[in-house]
Amino acid sequence: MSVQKDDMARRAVDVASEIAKRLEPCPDLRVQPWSTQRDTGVAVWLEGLVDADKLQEALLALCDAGSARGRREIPRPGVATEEVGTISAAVRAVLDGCAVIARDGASSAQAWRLDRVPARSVDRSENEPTLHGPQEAFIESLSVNLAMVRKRLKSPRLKIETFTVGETSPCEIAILYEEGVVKSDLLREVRRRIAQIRVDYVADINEVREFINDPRFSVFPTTEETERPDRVVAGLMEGRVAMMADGSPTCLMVPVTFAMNLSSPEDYYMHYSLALPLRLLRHLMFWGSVLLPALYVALLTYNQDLLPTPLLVSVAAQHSGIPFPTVIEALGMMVAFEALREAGTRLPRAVGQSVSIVGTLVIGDAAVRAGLVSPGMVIIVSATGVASFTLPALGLVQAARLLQFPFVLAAGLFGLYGVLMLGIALLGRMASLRSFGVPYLAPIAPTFIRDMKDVIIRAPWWMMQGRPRQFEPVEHDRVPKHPARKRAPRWRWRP
Amino acid sequence: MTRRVLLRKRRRAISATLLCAALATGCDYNDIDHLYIATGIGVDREEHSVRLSMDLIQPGGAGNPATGENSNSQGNAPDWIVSADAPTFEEAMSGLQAKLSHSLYLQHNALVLFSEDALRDFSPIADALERDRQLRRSQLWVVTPTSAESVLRESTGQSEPISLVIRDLVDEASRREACLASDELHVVKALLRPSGVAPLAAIEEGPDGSPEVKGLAYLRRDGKLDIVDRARLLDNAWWLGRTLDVREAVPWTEGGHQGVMGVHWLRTSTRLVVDTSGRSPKVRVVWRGTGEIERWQASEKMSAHTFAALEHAIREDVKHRLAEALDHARAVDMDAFGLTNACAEKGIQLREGAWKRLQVEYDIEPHIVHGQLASTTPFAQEARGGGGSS
Repeated sequence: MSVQKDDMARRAVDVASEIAKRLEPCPDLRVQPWSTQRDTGVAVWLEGLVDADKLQEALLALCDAGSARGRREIPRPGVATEEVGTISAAVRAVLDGCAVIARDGASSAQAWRLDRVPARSVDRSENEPTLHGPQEAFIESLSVNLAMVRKRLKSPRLKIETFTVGETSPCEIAILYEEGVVKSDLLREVRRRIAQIRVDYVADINEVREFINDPRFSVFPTTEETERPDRVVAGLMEGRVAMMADGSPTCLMVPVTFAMNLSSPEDYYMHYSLALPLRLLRHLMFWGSVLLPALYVALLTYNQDLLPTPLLVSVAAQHSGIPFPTVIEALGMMVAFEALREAGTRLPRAVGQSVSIVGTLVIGDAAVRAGLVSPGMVIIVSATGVASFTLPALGLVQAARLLQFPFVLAAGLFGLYGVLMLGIALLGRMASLRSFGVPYLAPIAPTFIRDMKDVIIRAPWWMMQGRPRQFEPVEHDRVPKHPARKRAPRWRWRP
Repeated sequence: MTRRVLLRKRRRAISATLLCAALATGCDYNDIDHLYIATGIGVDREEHSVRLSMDLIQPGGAGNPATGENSNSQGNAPDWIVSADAPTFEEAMSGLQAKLSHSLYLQHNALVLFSEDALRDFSPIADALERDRQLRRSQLWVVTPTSAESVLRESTGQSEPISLVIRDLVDEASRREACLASDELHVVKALLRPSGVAPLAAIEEGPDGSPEVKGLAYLRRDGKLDIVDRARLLDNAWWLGRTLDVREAVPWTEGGHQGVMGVHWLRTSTRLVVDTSGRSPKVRVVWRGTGEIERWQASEKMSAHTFAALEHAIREDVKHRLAEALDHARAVDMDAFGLTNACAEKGIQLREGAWKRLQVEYDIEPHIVHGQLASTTPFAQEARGGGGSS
């Protein structure tokens, strides 16, 4: 009996052969017949994706139960099952790590979830390390990642919605939010943007980011990327929405502001007085990483009068005999630094460290001795690199890396005037950016005075009783206020 | 307005901005390698010409920090001097530029060293210096009684450009005697006031070939110059304002013996008060000073009487110094201490030379702190009277 279109065949063998036909060549496809006193059928699965031991146990249990009860339906084993009514659905289930159990004469089959998808164990966060606070990071399994969030946020209002994205290879994408806190418009907009994604497959959540971003062409990250469950929970409690994809160890959170990209989870785990200088430093370092080479070029090519005379004498001495104009020297050094950084990232860790050390020490020193670059330029480019390493958000680091090049060109063409003009244009651009409707420079522009408690400074926790107003949360207060409750009098020691 | 129109407008605005930026600054490109950075100018006057000597940084001379080579191992000086003659200052500058393969960069010029002769015809040079937009108004104007070129050329053994050495030398001296801070802005301002006299630091080449502060020079608007040597510097410095941390030897008589005591003036200040109550204006010189006696050995224990005698001696000494300085100024016909200015501020316009006939009285109050009075050393007996008892 031949199979008509996508309908499930009446003979289990035909179902198995149709699945095999659609997947062939497929050497890891396994087909095993089974039979009870009344029924016969086949089990189809992909080796490696299914736990073979559990499958055998389940099949044995099926045979025993079928013999004993003598009923027509396939008995359900002690695993998650799903009815599949078409060949396409059966193929999807097989690819999804299920074993498809087809029975002769039945109009549908069962998909038993016995998946044994290879996944690594939960490990420390490598991209966002901290000294204090939780250390664990997401892995490539969505269920594990959701469990990690649930473990931290034991709230019945934590809601998880799933979407399937990907035409060829469907991928499950979950959005997480705290009901009653998140603004409904934001939630609706997230759902709308995810539903509009048309893509053949999703390898990582960062692919989704480009589809849902507000500005199409912007180097600044308008979604927050994190691999730390504690950060996700903190974001959810502020009224933001998190997005996770199966197979991705990263979570996206929206909306995000520029200031948020300069805060680290550690700011909230250390004493608030320590967070202030660190945040100030990060703000300075961001602008330093963008502007430092440009200012150096501008001072050496146009605005030498701004340098103190002894410094100018020293710089002139360093620069004597360098065969390139300052702007070319700067661009060359910056490209070399980026190449070294890229090499250090791509190579295996042990080799990468060696490349970094060899690159910075040996090649840099040799270049200076050979008179190709001046020591001052090496210091400036290295300082720029170090400044960018202080930024906690990878997206912002990449933005700073990209932005320093146009700034150097502007400095080489127009001096400080060019840097100033480009700086104004950049600030204008940043002020015009939105992340899911929230101004990117909030709470500085527009100004939310109360939200300034967590921008440059990090106020003590007892002062931050409200959620950030810039996200327009439904419930502004983190803890409901009790009008009748009075503050307890301060305890005094009375001998 | 459609999005396309908006984009087109934005593109036009950006293009216009970039074009303006290019027109505004693009031509000022001057890489540091293509500059001769001047740190000092020496101005000499010859028969019918001005001779300019430019102190230029020699980058190789400062050594290469990367290779660890310094100027001494290379045998190079950190700077070099280029000179040119021309009838006018501007032509001399053009002559200098003609000798140089890169453009001359004057914005770091820290010093203008005039020879005494150069100041004879001072106005055109001052005019040229004031007009040059590259030159900073903070550059020091300094005088030398010898040739400016020789001071710049023949100073040896310096690890930094000689102009910067002279600037630091004068800066350090002006920290003690404020009147030595003779930067262009102050000098020009002083010359334009009714007195028309400005104090300038005077330097000369020392016996070891390095420059040293010779004293103070008074420059009158008409180019007349009077140099006060270092021995009389303190007297003049007191007239001209504040001093900090200066030392003075005051004559002192005890039991028929003549000696000196060392006074360390922590700070002094002087101001002129014009009294117009009488028929003719009277100038009161208000001098206040706080100091300590550093070197003094009394044969008896300190008493109120001895201390009063000490203070009296100091007061007399200060008065004597101020009066001497004023007498000298009157003798050379130079209103160096701004008596005319003080009267003008009170609305009294003096005729030319009338300042010399002004009645001057002194209001001197030295305040001696007791800190050092009790201290002696094992050598105090030998050091009594400063070793110069007679």
